[in-house]
Amino acid sequence: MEDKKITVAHVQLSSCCGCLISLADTYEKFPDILSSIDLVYCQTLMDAREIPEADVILVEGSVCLEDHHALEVAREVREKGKTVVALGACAALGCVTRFSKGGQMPKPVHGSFSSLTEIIRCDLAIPGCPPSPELIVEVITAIIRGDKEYLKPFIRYGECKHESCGCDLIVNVINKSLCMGCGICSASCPTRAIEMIDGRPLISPHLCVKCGVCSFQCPRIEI
Amino acid sequence: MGKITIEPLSRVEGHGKVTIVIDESGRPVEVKLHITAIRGFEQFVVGRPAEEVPRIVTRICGICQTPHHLASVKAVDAAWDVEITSAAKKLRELMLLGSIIHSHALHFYYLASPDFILGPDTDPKVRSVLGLIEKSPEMLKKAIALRKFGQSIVEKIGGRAIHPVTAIPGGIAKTLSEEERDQFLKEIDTMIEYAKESVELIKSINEKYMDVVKSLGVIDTYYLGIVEDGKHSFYDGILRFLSPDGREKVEFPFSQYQEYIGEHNVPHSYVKYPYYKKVGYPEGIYRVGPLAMMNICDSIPTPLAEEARKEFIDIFGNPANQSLAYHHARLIELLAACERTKELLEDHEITSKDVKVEVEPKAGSGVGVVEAPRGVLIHHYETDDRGIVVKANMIVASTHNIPAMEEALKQAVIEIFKR
Repeated sequence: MEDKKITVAHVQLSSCCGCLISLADTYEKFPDILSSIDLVYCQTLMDAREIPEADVILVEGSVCLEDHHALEVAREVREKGKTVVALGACAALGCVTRFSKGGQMPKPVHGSFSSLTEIIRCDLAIPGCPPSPELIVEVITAIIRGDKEYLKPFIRYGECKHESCGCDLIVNVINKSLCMGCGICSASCPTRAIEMIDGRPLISPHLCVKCGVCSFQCPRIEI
Repeated sequence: MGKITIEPLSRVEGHGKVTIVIDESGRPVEVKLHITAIRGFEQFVVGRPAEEVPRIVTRICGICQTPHHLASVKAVDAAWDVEITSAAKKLRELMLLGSIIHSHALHFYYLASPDFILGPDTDPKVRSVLGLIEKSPEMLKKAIALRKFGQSIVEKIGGRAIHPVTAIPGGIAKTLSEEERDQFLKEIDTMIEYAKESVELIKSINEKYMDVVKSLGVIDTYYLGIVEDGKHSFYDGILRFLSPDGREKVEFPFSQYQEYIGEHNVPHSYVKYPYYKKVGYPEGIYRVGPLAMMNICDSIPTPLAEEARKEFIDIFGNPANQSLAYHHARLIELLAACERTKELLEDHEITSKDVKVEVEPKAGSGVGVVEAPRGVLIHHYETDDRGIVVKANMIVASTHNIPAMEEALKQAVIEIFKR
């Protein structure tokens, strides 16, 4: 594309940084990806200290409700980003930060974490812990191309109408008699929390990290 | 009175800021490092089956997930008195080395090297990996190759490159096929070559910046790391403290860490400040990671890295107390990790299928320690008779270093203000 490059910022809230590392795991393509956009803010890779206005702001991590700083950053990215993308399961759905219960010294009051999609309007959300390198690149490419069709499921996830503990599969697929037992949910689970029993997924709450990939991959969920 | 705030700290993983308070005469009187994020993993693994904890704690850090995965599973093994097979141990060690290779290459090339390759006075907009794409594409290619090699090892053994899942109490749930092993063997000599070049590169960088390296961030602390028979070790061994003057060495098994390491709370940061208990806080603050490892070990068991370590001592002394010498030490560890990877790949046991022993959940207390890229990583769990975690304590590598980082910053700020 000959047009001006889109400006992209990467902002990290409460997360492990694995989503950005996943993007870096495009290896040889990583320099090309960075060169195809105008990266204006990314605290882990560069020294810009102010989040500027940007065409796309990728936000990784969930929002600690007891931390005013995190809430301010959430508001700031909504004000400054034309398109705000909840990157990865923490921002999209909460992921392991949903397990948090506070009580850890020296900041025991920090105990409630919400997905970014619950706190601000997100235009897109990418589930996965972490999302695969290919997926992140495809979404960025689709944004550059303005490919609304490709982005549809990500827009749906941005609207935050979905639980992310496998229960959405039960509610939206199995209970609606839509499950055909294909096992894609089970195959896509990063912690092997889903076992196929009698052609239906059996979800272990002990293993689930609430990344949302099972229902995202389900071919029978209405998009 | 004035105050300088540097926020957010950049080119690091995580959230932090530095504040510098200046008095009327323009002298810095207070320098503080604030770590401003906490999710509370120690609390929320409580109540979970211990065998599931290794899969959760990877999310503590997206860069060093593998060490968390392994320290965690070692802690569960220890709590349940499990002795794993030697093949399982080697596979876990290989997975750890893959992560070290990826992380050390990421740390130096992607995050730190722009300061030196592009120069400290370069426009901050360019002074990053983005600037390297233009300036040093060949160097970046090698850095990418090292990362790819390391992450591929983690993926093949751990199931996934980020947040691996295969280490389970009693061993490991995946084996390495001969084809996979052969593929890595084809590449390993190139990786060793790249690691050697990395050491040469940092030597030439250090020559250029030696006055900075030897004057900013120079502090005396204790040092802590893992040794096996006195030698540098990533996966297993015992812990060794070294005194600031290098004279006193104190060794203890992982399980006794609480007798030697204390944790102090400070009001301005969300991390605890660890210290060497026998000396107290703040005199007993210590450093971990590559620099500490160069200091505490008697030798590195692989030849090229050992040669590089001797050169390192010639340049920086023993113990080396220069914080900026971490980069040099890190690249020596990169070389050591590549060499050790080759040894493991050439070990016929690495493709063994004897990787799992039966385990019985029970009440116990276990400590698991590995050398993560940033240094000593400690996981400690207590379980009840059903194998449910009732108490957890984790001291992640960077946490050990926080008090020393603050001291080094103070020293550097005072030095810079003098100039």
